[in-house]
Amino acid sequence: MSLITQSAVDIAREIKSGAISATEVAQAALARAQALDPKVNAFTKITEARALADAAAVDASIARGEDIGPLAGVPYAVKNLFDIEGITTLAGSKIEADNAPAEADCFAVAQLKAAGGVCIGALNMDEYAYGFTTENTHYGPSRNPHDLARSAGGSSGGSGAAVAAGIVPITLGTDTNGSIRVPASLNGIFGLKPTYGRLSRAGSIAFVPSLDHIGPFARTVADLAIAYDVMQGRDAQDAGQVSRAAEPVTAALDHGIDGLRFGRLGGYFDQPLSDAARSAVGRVSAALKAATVASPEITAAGRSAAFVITGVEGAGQHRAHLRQRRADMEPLSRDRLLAGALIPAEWYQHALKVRALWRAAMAELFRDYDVLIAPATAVPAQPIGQEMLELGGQTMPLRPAFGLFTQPITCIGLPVLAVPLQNAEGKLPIGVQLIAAPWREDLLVRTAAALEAQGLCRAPIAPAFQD
Amino acid sequence: MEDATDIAAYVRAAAALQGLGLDEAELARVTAAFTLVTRFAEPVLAWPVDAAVEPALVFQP
Repeated sequence: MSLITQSAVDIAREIKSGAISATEVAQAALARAQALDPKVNAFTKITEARALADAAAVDASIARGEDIGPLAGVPYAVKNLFDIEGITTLAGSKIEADNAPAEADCFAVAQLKAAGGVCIGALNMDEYAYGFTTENTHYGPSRNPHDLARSAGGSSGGSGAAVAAGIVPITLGTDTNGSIRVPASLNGIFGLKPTYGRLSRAGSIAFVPSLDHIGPFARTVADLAIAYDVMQGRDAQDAGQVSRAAEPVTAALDHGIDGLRFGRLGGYFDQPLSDAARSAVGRVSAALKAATVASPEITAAGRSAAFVITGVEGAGQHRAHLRQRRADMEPLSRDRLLAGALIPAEWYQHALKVRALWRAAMAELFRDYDVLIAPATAVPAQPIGQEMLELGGQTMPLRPAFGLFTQPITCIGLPVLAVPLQNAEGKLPIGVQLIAAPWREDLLVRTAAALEAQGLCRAPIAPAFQD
Repeated sequence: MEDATDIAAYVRAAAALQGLGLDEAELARVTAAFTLVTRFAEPVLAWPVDAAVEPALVFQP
């Protein structure tokens, strides 16, 4: 197996040892991206010149004897919602394509670069992050490396597909209602949505400001933890970031799970599930010896609150586009944004109040449990273009159904780590959410690392993309 | 707003008030989308809240 398909930890170690240069790794990553991306359509831009410049800087630092950082020479890519110096930030849209290239990297990309990372490109997504399937009309759908006829999930679909196809070991995405956890589940990889306010979102195009999060994808828990740690740090440019010291989690990877209390969320989270999802949650719960916990009665209202808040704030972000450029907007989300613009203010106010009650109800659960377990998605990846989902005798619109179990959690900003189980339904993987109290990402990393060590949750490159 | 006619009338009026300038085909699609919004919003709107519930975090200048 070539080095480029190894973990970020392995790549950085080999580069630091001098066994291979960052430039050689970058060239290999670019070649792999050029060769494989036509199959999955994960990238909207491969930044060859940027990658080679980043890699040359890493090689120069190593030659000077400097400690370049934990991502020394590691290729990564970011959702095209984030500013990358020198290229236009598309946000999956046709409208933004008219804009000038970004003048500087956003905070998260700057942090990844400072840790030695090598940016090889920008990744496909649902327009303005409003969607769960990355069926982007302007740039084409991202395809699932486990089955190219199926969706890679969304809205960070390119981020999920690029990691699952082994093009890069780490990508960056965003999550407003599930846009990290859904692609993580459908592509069979790890994804971390940190606590609301933890990581700076500055330099990315907002979707729903009071729900927007950013976070990493990776094929190992260690890579995920390192990427998360290097992106921590105070950034005055994000008004939503909480003033809190960095709390690195990498050191907690081998702390184990002794003494942790696990609860499997029932009630709302037992809603119609595929056999694959039910089995995955059951296996993780059994491995962690989790007790069954009834989810608070208010859970469904919490998910509903997220829907209303998303409609109002999402429309607010794009009011000018809806008036002047809607012919250029994504047909799959344009009418939903227009409908959001019409939601009465009283509904929004009510949703905010219910969010406060829902947050308080979950805080009560964390008195008795350290980590809660829930499905990430009700089903594995579905065929591109599919509109409806039949499950448990119900027929429902497929795209919003992907947020059934992720939306309630983002609504109150809790940290979540999605862990993958392979071959959950034939060759398709599926994910499970590990949920902790605010600021306890360390517990999630410890738990995910334990599940990975057991061999239950792992994220190999999709078979068709292995060397 | 349970009646389909009510929803269509509301969408037409609210869209006009906001200056969205929707044509008839757009109005039909947005009415369908807003009908879905009303369905998804039912659980939150049905949940009782006390006037004393703080709706959001306190703004800190």
